[in-house]
Amino acid sequence: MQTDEIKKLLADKLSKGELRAVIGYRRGTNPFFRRPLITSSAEELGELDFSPLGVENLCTYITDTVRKRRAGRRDPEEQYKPTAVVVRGCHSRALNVLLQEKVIPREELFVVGLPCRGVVDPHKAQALWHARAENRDPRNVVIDDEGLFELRNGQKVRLAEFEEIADERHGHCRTPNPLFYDVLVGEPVAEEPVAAEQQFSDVEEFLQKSPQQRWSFWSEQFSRCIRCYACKNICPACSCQECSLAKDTEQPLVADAKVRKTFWLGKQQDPANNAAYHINRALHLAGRCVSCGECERACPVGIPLLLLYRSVAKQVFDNYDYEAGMDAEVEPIMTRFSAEDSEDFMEE
Amino acid sequence: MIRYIENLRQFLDNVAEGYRLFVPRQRPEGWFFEPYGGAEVELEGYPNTVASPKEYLFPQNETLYRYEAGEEGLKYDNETAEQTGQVIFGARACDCAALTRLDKVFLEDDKDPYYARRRENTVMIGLVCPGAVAPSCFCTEVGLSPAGVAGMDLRATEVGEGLVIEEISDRGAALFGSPALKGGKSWREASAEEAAEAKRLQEAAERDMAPARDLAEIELEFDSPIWARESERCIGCGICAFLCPTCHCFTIEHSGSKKKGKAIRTWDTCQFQAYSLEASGFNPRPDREQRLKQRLYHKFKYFSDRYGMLLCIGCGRCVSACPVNIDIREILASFEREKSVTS
Amino acid sequence: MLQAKQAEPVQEANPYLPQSAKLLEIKSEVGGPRPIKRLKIEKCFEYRPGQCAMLSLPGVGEVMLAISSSPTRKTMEFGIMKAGVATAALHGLSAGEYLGVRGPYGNGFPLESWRGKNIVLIGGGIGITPVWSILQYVLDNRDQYGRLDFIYGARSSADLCYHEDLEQLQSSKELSLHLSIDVEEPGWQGFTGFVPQNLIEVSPKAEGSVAVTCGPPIMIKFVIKNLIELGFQPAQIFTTLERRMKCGIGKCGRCNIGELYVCKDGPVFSYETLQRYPEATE
Repeated sequence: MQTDEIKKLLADKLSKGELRAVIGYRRGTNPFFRRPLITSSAEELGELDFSPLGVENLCTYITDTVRKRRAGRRDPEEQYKPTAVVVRGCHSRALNVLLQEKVIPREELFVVGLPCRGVVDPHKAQALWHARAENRDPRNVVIDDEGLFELRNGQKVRLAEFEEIADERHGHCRTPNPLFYDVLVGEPVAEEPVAAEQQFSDVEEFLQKSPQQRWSFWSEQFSRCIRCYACKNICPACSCQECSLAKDTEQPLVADAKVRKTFWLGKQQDPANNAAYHINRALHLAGRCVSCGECERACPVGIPLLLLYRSVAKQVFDNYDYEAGMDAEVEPIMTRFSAEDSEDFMEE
Repeated sequence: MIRYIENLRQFLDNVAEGYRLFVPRQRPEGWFFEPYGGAEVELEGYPNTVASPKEYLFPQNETLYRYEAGEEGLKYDNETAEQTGQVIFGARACDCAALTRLDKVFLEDDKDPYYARRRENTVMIGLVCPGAVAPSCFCTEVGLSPAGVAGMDLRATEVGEGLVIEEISDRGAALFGSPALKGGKSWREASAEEAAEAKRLQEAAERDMAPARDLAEIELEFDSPIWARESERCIGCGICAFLCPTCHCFTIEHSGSKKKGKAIRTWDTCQFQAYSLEASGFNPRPDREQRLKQRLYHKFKYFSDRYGMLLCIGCGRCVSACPVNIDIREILASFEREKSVTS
Repeated sequence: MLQAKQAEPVQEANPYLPQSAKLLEIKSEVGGPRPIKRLKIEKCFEYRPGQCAMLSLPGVGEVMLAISSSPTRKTMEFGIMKAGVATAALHGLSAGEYLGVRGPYGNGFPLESWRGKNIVLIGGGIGITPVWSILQYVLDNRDQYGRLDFIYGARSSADLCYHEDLEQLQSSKELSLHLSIDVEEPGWQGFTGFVPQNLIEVSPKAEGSVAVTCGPPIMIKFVIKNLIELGFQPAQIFTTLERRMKCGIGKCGRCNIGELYVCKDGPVFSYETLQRYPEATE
């Protein structure tokens, strides 16, 4: 379906009260990526944007809705109507994870599938802009399928090709097309995604380093962590009402003080607590992380979180031949056990 | 005296002989303040640092005191605050102005000895901006200047191949009286032309950032639908607060047993849901809408009602770093528009 | 300008540092799922009624509590409901043990400006604790004040705090005690109904009086409404607010209502002040 038709369809559904809200992308004040649009007003749907600058994994707002609902803070009449959400390929895998884990039923989703030919890496785009623009006024930034441009006296001057500002994840993307949808934006992507066995080429080199080298690398990375929890909060897989790794930041469901205050981690930002936070979260995401990369994009101090989570994902794949979010009908890998499971890690 | 530094490396080497020295360095992830370490400092293309230098005055974690239970009661020992002198080179005017806000919080009434001790022992060498250095700079809209001197001890302006250094405070002047710098090996008096050029560049920077509005004039509206709309996409992380040079909220937690342990202060943020959650379960700000409102009000009204200056210093870090593009400049502009529509 | 040298202990006053105080007495006042205990600790500093102290439980944390006693008394007293980890730890203490205290914090009640006036205290449940300090202070300085009315209620007679003291005060001529419980109970002599209703029953004179009310938010809302109906001006009505607190000295930022900090500019606020702050009444 063309974008105009999609906007009209969603507007109709909203006006008729068939949808609770529409979650998509729209232009914001940051020229290097689009901002989430969460609206129940049909008029605002004209703003919907489907360009490669729409990078956020909007499924995190589905998770968010459910958490608020559990806490009893949503209008009971509205809360069971479907929510429309725009998803790229990897995002549709995130939805599968939510469906697998019964976080939300399928009937409450109206999925607008967005075939993906690659998104912009906002950090790369901004760095190139900073390095190559004559006049750094952000109002002169133009980014489209062709690349990064600077508007000089009304003329588009190319600063970089699209490949230079593209997120390199597209190179090992397994699902350029959404795995399921209620309506599809435009035509599916024709190119073949990377083969399952080749998908972890980006982490293989790193994983060949010795454990000491890897530990040293991650210790240095974690030392920069300021425990802002953006990585956790922006992740759609993080749907726990009370995150055991950040209890001091969120309001629990349970009022019992003893439960509330049983901390696994200290709030202090020190090597032990930081490492514990990141390692625990990486393990909690085993078989659940779909490599959408939002954690890494959101991190204000540039910790290469995707490398960490994909290292775990590779181990899940190598050991169990399992990729997160490919099939909503299958039981999540970490909740089942088979006698045939690999036991290579156990030594005689 | 107005001085000129021809060789920055030599100057910084000299400073490092007597003080802990922190300088801005570019990493793949962005610019950060780091310990000097002796390597050349490249200022080409330097915008501002990802994290503000407030951590040198108000660290993210710090032990306040230790306690030990004994026969005759509890013994409480002050933890020592860092006493050694430190120099922060290359802080921008906005970040230095931020310190005047932190001074109000920590030094007035019940002086915070930890902050006070660090503040006394820190020399801020500010670096004049050539204009707006980052995509979201708006210091002039909050009444500040890219060449401003609030909170600074020395002001550095890039002139020719070196730097013109002006004394702003006694503490800054005293730096040049220290043993390592007294001899004048790494600096000399600036010529009249150099001093004039510095002034010209400062004025040009201010002109470059002539403000479109005065954010102190904007009236926020408590019951506006803008709050719900803007906070809907907030993910409730601490990026805006932790990167902000003026955010000063903290928590104090005990680490240890009933017999022995310590009280540790760490940064906290009003954006976390449990920030003001009471033991009874009552939360005066349970929704993100109220927390976003609190942030904006604190920056643009509550602080100025209490201390006579805006808490926001216009560095724009929160704007650039917000992963979902919540933009306080835009929110303020919405209120400006609302007002002009209704008035 | 200090050169690098050996670090010395911080010399100047440290507002975060508690002092050690001995727990003299701990008594159970109310049982049930939200128990209340009464603690007496050695008096560590001078204070004014309405001010608070930060009690520090080693290894657990701190909690800001209203000092329930008047400074005219020998010991510092607190009425504490078990709610979180710090209050739970307080409940677990035995007499003779030590805890940390720092203070006094907050503005306290403007008792000097109330001289000669009638004092109307209206409390519900645990809300007795801040007004108790006024009650004791006025009794200890009886000739400086007019009438003293204490309107106090709880869910049931078992939920009334400081009941031993209340029994003794029943027969006192120094004040008028008006107790109530929410629900009928065999043997109950006093008023049956909610505290705001009892307030209407008592119908204190507004002229030359001040009213102080503490208790559950819903009770305060209706008490204030009824006080206004009885002719009290907002400037004559006072209450205490509470918020989560950490520093107690207006620096950590969390207890704010507008530009006011409950720890420093409060916890005592007149209704006139509170009307100006939408956050306070939300």
